[in-house]
Amino acid sequence: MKTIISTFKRRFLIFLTVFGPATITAMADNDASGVATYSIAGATLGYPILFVLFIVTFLLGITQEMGIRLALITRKGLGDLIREHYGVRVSLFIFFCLFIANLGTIIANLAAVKATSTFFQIPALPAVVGIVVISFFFVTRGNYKVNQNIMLFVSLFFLTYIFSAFKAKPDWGAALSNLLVPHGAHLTPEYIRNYIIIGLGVLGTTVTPWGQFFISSFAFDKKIEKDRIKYSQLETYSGAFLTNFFSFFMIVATAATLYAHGIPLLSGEQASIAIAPFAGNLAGILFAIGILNAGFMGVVIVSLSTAYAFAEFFGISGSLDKTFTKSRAFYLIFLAQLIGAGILVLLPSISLFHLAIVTQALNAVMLPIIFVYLLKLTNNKAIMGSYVNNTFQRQFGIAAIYIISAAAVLAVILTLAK
Amino acid sequence: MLFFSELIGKTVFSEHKHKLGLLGDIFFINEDTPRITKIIVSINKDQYREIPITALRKVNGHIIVAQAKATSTILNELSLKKVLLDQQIIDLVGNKVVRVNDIVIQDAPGLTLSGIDIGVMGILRRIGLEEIIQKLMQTFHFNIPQQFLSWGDVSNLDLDYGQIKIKQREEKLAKIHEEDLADYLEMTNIHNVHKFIGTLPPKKAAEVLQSLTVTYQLEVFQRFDSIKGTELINLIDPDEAVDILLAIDRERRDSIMKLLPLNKKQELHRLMTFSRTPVGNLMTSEFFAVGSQETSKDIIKQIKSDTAEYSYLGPIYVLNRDDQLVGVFNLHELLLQKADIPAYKFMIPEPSMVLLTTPVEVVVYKLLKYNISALPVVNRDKKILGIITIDDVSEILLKKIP
Repeated sequence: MKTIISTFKRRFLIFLTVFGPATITAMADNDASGVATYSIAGATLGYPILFVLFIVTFLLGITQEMGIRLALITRKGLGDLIREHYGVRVSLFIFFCLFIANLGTIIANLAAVKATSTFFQIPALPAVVGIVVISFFFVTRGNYKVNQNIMLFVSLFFLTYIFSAFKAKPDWGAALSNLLVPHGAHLTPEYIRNYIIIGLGVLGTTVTPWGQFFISSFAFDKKIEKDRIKYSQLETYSGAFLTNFFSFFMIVATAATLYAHGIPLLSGEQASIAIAPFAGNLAGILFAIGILNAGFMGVVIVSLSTAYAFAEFFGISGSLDKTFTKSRAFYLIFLAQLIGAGILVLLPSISLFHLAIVTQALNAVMLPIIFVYLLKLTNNKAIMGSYVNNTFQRQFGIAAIYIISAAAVLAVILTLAK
Repeated sequence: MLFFSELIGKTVFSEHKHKLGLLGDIFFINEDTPRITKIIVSINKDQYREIPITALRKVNGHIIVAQAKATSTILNELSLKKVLLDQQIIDLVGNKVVRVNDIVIQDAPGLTLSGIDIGVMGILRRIGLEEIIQKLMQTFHFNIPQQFLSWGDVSNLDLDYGQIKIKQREEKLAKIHEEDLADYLEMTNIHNVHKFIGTLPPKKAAEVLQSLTVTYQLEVFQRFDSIKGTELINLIDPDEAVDILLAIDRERRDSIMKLLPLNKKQELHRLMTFSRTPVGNLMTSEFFAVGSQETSKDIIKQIKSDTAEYSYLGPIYVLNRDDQLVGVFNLHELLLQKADIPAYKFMIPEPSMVLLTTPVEVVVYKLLKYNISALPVVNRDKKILGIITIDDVSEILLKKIP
């Protein structure tokens, strides 16, 4: 018995040494635009959308596992491998799309911060500038270890959604059963249409192009040893579960309040104000804190993923453990995104709603493209050796590419047809 | 000077204009002067053919190859596409520097790699936007600098293990201009050669020394003691030996002469003493030189306006930003170029040159050996002082006819 406990203890300690990249990437999927999407999903569609969340969890776990396996076996990031195996043309194209899509995602996050700051009666300008400045110092001043730990700590704030959900007194039986089979909604054509568009939004905000790049870069930056790959794989699965565990409560919180009372939610950022009358003021405040926190995490991680991808595609030095002067271009790309997004979000003439739609569409279209390369690389025995994808992973990957492509095309058509 | 990106994907024809396939890859030998050994022509998706570089007839425009037998693999041979293109370059301490955006190939005398393009222009060239962007930049008087790494800075040893490692720290890395690549490569090779020349067999060392341009020959030679110097002088061609001996100071020359075997000493002594006419007296200052960045269109315009008074226009010399001689081309080569091609792209780098101390006999020998109409005379800093044409030395040639 004693040996079992000590073996477990030893294994747990090893797990802690690799712990970080996958959990942080997964948690950042619940960035402010993610929270907004889940809130709208819950408010518009009720519990049945939880079925999509259930499937997306597996998709996230399996694709993130491919990403981290690729990084640990090759000792390179996804950007490195795409450039080395598919050349400069493909690299430039993907980087350009990633840059635009990420810029959109950062703007969406800052917009959420801006909207939520009014909930606390903070003016928009200092709130946005504050987040940008904090994010910049956070990344340039800290090293890998400190930044990782702060981000893990910040993830704890996602617990606030659980409180909000419980305060909303939901129908737990309906919520849990809808995870496996969607039921209980009145299927109007309008409802089905929204289900497809918002469902893709849920997928698009959880499984993201930047997430595919970030997990491999961040794992590489952590310098995890190859022989600990089992522990990292375990972390990707637990991370995927954990992030959607929180998403579950976000959807439940709005489904139990807004959907149940037939109150439409026009923008996700309004969720904290909207749920307050039903779930109480405390639930609203907790929800708002959650969004601010998610906004910070989203801004940092998404702009960091652009900088990592740039460094990998063009071969410059890029690591949180390098000083500003050593990795200048890396940090400058990071800063340029932050400032660009900050300025755009403060311009009153920019329609944030349209921007969010364009961003999501771009993310959705990019996702299958990136999957194709991720799958090609992890299917390649010359690159992966004995860690090459197994039959299930190969077929699951191909199926995912087809389904996402079809859903993306359908959603774009439905949005345009509106 | 060619870029790999200009060759890859080009159609390869046989001598009878029969289409063979597309150029897919190039193989080279990983050594100080990396010679290209063969090209890979892909016929379709799974089929390809290896063609030895000796069968290559023409590279500009279409690629034309002669009939050839398949080659065997050569030791140290590497695939340019696999080990170089798009790969990561790291510095001495392992920091990431940049990726290989393109590769510079010189075609004088055989095809060799001379440098790596690490600049933004390299990326633009790869995606076919170089010309458009360059024209756009010119209209706004803005210049994207080209950035190159010389092959001389790449560690051969690490490349064998699949790593492109430079021999310096990133901060000390020399990013050089395209026109100086060949020159810089020669210079860095000298440093290596000098370091290892003690370990090289004397014959090989002499061979290396002979292949250098005269200014570098001197630079290397200055670093040897008299014994090693004598050994080398004894092994290289007499005319090259005389050229070196006359350029070094008298004391050193005498001490080397003393150590030479008798027959060699007599031969060199004869060559040195019958050279009574100084090169400076024969040399003319009527020559035409252009900057390496000037385009063929501008050069032709300049020739029309500036050389009307010339009695003779021979080869055109190319100078780098420091006015050093880095290349040469003739009028025929110039006329074949498209309008916007800069001189460094079509010049022949590292032309043969002579010094003021070079005996006239050696000049004549070189003019005939290389079959050229004129030779530039340079100072030790590679700046042109004048040229000597076949005409200038014709009297000496006539005297030789009994």
